[in-house]
Amino acid sequence: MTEPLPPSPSESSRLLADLTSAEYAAGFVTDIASDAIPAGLSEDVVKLISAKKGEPEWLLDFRLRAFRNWQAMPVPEWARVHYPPIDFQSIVYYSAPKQKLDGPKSLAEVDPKLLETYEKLGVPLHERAALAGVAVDAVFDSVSVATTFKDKLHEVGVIFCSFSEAVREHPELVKKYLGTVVPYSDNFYAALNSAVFSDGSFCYIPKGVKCPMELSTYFRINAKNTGQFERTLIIADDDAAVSYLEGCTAPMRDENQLHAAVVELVAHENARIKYSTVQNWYPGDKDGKGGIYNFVTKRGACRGHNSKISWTQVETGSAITWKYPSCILQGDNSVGEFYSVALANNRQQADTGTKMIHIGKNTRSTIVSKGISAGHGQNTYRGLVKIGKNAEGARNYSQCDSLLLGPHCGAHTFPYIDVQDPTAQMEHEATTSKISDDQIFYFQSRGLSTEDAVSMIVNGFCKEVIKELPMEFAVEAQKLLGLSLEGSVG
Amino acid sequence: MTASVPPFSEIAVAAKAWPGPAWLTGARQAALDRFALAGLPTTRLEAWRTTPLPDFGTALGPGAPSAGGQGAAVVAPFRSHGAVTLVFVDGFHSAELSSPESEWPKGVRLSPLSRLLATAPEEALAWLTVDAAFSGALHDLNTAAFRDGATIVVEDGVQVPVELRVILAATHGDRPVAEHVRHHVQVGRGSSLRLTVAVLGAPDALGFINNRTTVAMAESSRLDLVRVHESPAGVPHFDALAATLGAKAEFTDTVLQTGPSWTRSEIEIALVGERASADLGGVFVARGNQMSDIHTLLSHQAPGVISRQNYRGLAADDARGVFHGQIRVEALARGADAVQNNRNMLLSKRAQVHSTPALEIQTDDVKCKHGSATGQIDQAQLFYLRSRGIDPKDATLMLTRAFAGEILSRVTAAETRELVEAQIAPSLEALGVAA
Repeated sequence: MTEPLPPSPSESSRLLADLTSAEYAAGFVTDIASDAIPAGLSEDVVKLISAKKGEPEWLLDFRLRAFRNWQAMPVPEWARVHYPPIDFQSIVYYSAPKQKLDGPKSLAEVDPKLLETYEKLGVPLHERAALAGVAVDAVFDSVSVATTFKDKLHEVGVIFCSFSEAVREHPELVKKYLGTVVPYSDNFYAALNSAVFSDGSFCYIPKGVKCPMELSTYFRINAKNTGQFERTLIIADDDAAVSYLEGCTAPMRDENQLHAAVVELVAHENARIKYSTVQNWYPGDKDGKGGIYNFVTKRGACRGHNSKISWTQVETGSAITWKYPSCILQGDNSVGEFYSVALANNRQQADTGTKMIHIGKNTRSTIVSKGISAGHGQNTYRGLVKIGKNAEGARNYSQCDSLLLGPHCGAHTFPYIDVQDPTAQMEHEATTSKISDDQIFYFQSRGLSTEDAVSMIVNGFCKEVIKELPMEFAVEAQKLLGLSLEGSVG
Repeated sequence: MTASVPPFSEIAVAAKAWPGPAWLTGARQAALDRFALAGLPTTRLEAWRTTPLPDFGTALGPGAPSAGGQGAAVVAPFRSHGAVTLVFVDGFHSAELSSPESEWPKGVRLSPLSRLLATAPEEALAWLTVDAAFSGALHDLNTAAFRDGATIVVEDGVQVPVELRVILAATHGDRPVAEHVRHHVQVGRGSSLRLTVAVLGAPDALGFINNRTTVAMAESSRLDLVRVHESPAGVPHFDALAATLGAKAEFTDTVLQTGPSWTRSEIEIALVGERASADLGGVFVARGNQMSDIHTLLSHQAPGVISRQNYRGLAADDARGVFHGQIRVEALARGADAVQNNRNMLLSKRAQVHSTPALEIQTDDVKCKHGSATGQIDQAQLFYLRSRGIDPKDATLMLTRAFAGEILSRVTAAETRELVEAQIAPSLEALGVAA
């Protein structure tokens, strides 16, 4: 047999076309009965959501304050993303899978179709969870379906449950921390979320406890025309540590769906929180039809001395991503980290980055952001490093690299650096590059196919971020990147 | 600091009496209407986020030609036999202080804008009505109220042997007067020009300088621009430079922002011709409660264009420094190569620096990078010098001089270099030393 020729340029662009249009594997719809309220948003809807969840007065108050605030706020337009105006009255603000009246007592009672869904998605919800050793809180559309491994966590005193359950069982903790990192008046989408959030995850790690397993939430939007508004609140008390994983998928639909979540993290003295996300919401088809609008507010407060919050995110999905996981470094010697890979293919638009607010002395932060643009994708890094007047000895290092695959995509970098203390040291670097023909040729000359070469180069480009992910997530992230990008030759 | 309502009605009334063609009167009115609508920029605008305006008081209104007075003393250091100077005192051309027309180089059409508008206004039509990416109330105010400026047109194929100098001097000490000045520089095909622009003033002068320059460079032309921004404390200075570079044009610009006043410099370069290149650099030395701001936008619009930026900042006392540098690469600009570097040094506890190096890239075949670093004076270097018996003040001066020196070394013409070094020295010496 003769040696196969290396792919010609036209062949490699075909490869690119084939592979960048790879099917969205999580795009199925699960047909189960759901309990939804009519579309639209008003004070009555906010009250109805609160009533359906049987919430106490103070939480309804919080929602109503947020709603009134939201009504007065303008829709933010500063991000480098373009989309038609959202009709907030056409969205269903609450959709829950219908359950037996008394709710499932164990996994055996959970709707098997629901379990099947998670099976397809690879969420280790059932016994497989034991092997994976991951405790999962799965949020389907708007409400939390089941939380695995609760007993084991209970033994060490870790509270890990759905947000609604936390409101019922631990109201004092929720009341103490809710809205203290992301106030309801923070921004348009945070206000919207504060008014209508339907569920989410709650996690409390008591003093001195190192959480014995990785905690995980899986979010899925299933029903049509629904928005998903979940809220995550994680508190690590003094000397506590936790690693938290978050994953997301949605079915393929032609309409755009809204996802506006809020995540709040609080780290007390010597506490460590590691928050990892693999976001794979449906990105829309190759012409930009459909897909999720992912407008998320994530922020962590390092309240205590020597505390540390680390964000790692792999953003491969969503039609539009608008997300800036941030750290407020209040405690002296506290540390903030942000590792991100954001991919924008086809017509996807991502405007993502971080804020590192240095307040305490000797606070340190690291930002590593890797943006990959392909097709007509537009990828923007937007970040703020602020070193306050009393943040003596603060240190920041930022690195923002962009990889462009193809002549029609865009990569943008908007770092804001505000320094108000002379003893601070901050450095920012950014580069933009493409995969060169030389690199591809090098791989080919060693007998590797073009698509393997691109895959290896992309993985190499993202390595600094991927290595920060817990192992099972790292594998998923690499698979996701591979799916959408193999074969794309610059 | 608050900006009071400017007397734009005063400008509107005055403008009607100013001589000029109908299109100019129309353009002035349109600019005034935009200005009335938008008002002065506030920190709520993204482009002004970190740069509050000074209180202009009544200083925005139009001035009138002054008797000269301190003008001669102010411009003295910049007048020399080796260069041809064009001097503007309080916003109006001073024939007395400028080089005599007999010394003007051949192949260059030099004219004060006021004279050009009186004799051949159609020549100014194209560039007075040009749209720039940087725009806003202060640009509009300039269009509405400018009275004079320098126009320099270098014919094709002329290597101008002498350096040209355009000097602005603010001298009004009795009441604040605004100088809205508009310049235009055109460099013909294959020509080259060295130009120094200095914005100066008497120490007790009051007012506002709004200085706007457009540059058009034809194919294979070269322009080496050096700008000294040193307006006195009572004269805030807003400066806008917009240059368009044709194929293979080479442009260098070095801006020294050393004056004690509020200063903002906007630099907008459009690389529209293939393989055009721009090499920009600058340094601000900010002290007291000064505000120093440099905004750049490099728009890469053609294949093979190259840009380099090297900006540095020193901030002492309560000063605030801003660098906002934007690199934009359009889809057409295949093979564009853009590098931007910003370094800032904070010399006191209360000084602040805001740095925003931004990239916007619309194609894959590019080489782009930027770097930004902010910190204090290197303690190890300071220790080294002190261990050799140099007192802290001298050691600091040596280090800040070296830091700014990299920018000064961009000025290659020996005489100009000496001039700018002499200009920056007192500012560096006046910098406070961190406790």
